[in-house]
Amino acid sequence: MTTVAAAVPDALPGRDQARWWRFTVRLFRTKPLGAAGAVVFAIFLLSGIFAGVLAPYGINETDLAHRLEPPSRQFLLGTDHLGRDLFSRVLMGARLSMIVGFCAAALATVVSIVIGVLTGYLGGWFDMLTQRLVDAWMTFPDLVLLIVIVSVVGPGITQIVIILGLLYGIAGSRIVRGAVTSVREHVYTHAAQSIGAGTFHILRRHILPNVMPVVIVLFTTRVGAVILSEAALSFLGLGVPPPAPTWGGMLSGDGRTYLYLGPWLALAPGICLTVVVYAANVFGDALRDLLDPRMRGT
Amino acid sequence: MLDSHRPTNGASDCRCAGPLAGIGSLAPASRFLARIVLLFAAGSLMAVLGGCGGGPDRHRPSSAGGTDMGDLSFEPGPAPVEPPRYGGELNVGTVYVTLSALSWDTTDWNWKQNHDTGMLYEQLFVADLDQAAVRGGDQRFVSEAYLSAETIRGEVAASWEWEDPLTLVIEVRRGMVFPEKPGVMEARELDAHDVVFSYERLRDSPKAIPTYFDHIDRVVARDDHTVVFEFGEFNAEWDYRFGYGYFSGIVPRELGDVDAKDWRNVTGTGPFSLERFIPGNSQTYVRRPDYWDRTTIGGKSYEIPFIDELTYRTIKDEATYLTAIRTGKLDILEYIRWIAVDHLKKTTPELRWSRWLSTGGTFMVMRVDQEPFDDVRVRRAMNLAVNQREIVELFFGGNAELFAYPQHPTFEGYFEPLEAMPPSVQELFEYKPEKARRLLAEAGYPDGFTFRMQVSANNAMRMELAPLLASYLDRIGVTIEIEVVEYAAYLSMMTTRTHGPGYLMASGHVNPTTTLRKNFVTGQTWNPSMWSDPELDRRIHEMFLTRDEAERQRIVKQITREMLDEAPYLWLPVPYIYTAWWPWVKNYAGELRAGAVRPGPIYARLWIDQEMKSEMGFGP
Repeated sequence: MTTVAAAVPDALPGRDQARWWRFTVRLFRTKPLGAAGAVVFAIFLLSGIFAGVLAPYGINETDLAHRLEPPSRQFLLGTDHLGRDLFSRVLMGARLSMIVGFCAAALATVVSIVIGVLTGYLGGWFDMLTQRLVDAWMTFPDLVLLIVIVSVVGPGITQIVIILGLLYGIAGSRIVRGAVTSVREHVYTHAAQSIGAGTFHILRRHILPNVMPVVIVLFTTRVGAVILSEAALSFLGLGVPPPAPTWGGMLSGDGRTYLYLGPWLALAPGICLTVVVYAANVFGDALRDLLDPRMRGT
Repeated sequence: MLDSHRPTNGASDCRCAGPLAGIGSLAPASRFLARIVLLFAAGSLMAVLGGCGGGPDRHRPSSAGGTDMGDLSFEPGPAPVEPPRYGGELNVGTVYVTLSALSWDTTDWNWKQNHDTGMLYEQLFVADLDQAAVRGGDQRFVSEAYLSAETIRGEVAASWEWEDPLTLVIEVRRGMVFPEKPGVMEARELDAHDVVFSYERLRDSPKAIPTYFDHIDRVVARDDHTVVFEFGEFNAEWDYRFGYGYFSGIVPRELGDVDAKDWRNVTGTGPFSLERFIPGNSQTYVRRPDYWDRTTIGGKSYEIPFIDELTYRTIKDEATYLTAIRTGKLDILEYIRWIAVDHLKKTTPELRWSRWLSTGGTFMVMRVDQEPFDDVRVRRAMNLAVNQREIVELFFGGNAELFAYPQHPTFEGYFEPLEAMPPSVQELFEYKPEKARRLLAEAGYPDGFTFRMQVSANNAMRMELAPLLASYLDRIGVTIEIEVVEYAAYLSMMTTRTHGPGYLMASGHVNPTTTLRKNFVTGQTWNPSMWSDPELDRRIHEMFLTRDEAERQRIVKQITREMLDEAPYLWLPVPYIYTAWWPWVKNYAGELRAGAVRPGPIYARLWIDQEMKSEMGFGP
């Protein structure tokens, strides 16, 4: 991770529009898989945003007369055991996954930045103490922590977002800290210190902008991880409560119970989950490669 | 004399259902999709759990809307002829396979305790299992907590007689021995003082169900083997209350000196000793070689139990426990939903089956002490907004009875079919959303309302019913906020009265009189709607005082009609449940209870044909 940080200043894309455009073209030319991932991810994002418009039926609209019907023109992805349209529920599942994914990843990123930048720049006993706490935190298996905390505070979107945000944020702070410890040794940081710039000013104007590529990569990879974690929690019955349609919940409940009778019940959310997480990951990988000159050509 | 007011509880169901549609009925494309999913599952979250399921049978004749109890007919089976064999381990997924033991202490007044301690703690009375179908009798013994006078025999009670109308004298059986339990007690014979101790310990518990023992003035030991129950007043279910009921276990006096909540201290005179308890996983009982009771098979008397070890497996996940019976990890699985039956029959044709109408009602409680459910119009609107017949036909595939609560159809003389009910009761089982909206408007809720409803995560059927109810009620503008809760917390919410205005639950029928008392008497633990009516309390008390059974039946019927009409619950259909076991389990035909949710004596009488088990590829 520190290799990424070390290369940050040189790899920083320009702030003007032309440089962003060039970066995008470079992404499509040199990392077509990552670019495809970005497109797929964007499609899911838009599907989630416009789920209310795109969904042909209400997500909780039951019709027992049409229960467990296979995919057809009327029901594009079939229906579940209560006769609910699976396509509509998968769309709404995309919205929930995106909400949880983006919000929790954003919170995780903020937590990572706060802890990572402060400990990485200030160093000393504060860094030592904080990082030992981070070490202790990271020794717990993620899933066990998630299950325990959700069992205590109860399921719900807000709780899931906060818990996942903190969980990934604290662990991710180590990456940001690595980048900061590199950046703080650069000449421009020493120059700012020598002319008497304040700590906050240095953090805001010199440190933070130069670790942003790391943060961007961290965010994109976190989105996929968070969506998967939310699905795992829902699979275990600890996610967003029913009747809200989450992909993990659809896999664990109807998906398994009616696997032989209606395989589409598990297939639809399962494929969506796999595709969106894969897309987020390859996009994140591509960003990392492009933003780290030493990764170019690999 | 045992109270003879009870009808028989046999004749409760048939051997098994007809075939249901399943994977075999799937189109080739669907089977291909199924294979794709299985492959896909290998690399995803689903990899850890096996699939399950079955097929809904849309052609199955339904009993919705009627009282067609054809499925309840029952033919006694032939008595076994092969001699029993000793040894082996029995693994059981019980009716409560998803629930671990909730308490080991009788003073907790926990409903499930009998289920977990019933093979250790014996009671004054027990089911006469020699009348079971598998032994040539005519009884199924599936009723949750209802034994007719003809099917009861003494367990701790060697004999009993009424000295006068309010004094019952019980002779305690000799030769029943508590085994040595290090740190708790030396081995000794059970005596009358243990019976008195057990009763008083229950009576004095702060968790005691209100009014439960009010009919008893005192219980005294006349001598070491004679116990006298002095009644202040007659109670029609005296033999259930402290005889074979939920709260009737006889514990040793030494338990008063140790931590009774610790499973390591639990000991009784029963056929098994508790060896291990792993919460959320299993509880294991081992055979007591010096157990007092015997059973007769083929005219010959045998010592029991036959098996060396009995293990209750706790498996929360439906797919996993279905896989466990299919792969022989479970010898018996007592609770299988209809939806899984056809697939199991197809993949595991060797399994033996029985089918029984659930002995608990499923309903959504509406708290009448809170708005908006304090208004009967709102409660009736809830019932009218849900299409119960559609649920029977399509959700349960016909495997349910539209109307079977609070009285069970096997409560002969007490149960009345829906057709015999007043029109206003019959209407509650009709689907009339327009009238529901009108009633809501009249009650001041023209735009509907939102309420919170808890559901236990440990029951797959109710987890599926919850969104279905939400959908029905949504059509009349009522929104349910579903709150999924683990069982222990879920139960605690009810007992501490912190549950929401809505509470989706199942509650046992128990017996014709208790079902009214526990559901509707003021302050009762299992009165989740918080129904409170002093006049009704008085009438139910009068019902218990009534010795004449015909008169008691009249009172029960009248109160049942009235309470159905008041709609404190959103009445839902009662499903049929299936029990499956492997053919190497002998002397067993799906019996479930020998008392109140107490299967212990049943397991003590079955044996395992280990040779057959090995031949079938499941041996050690």
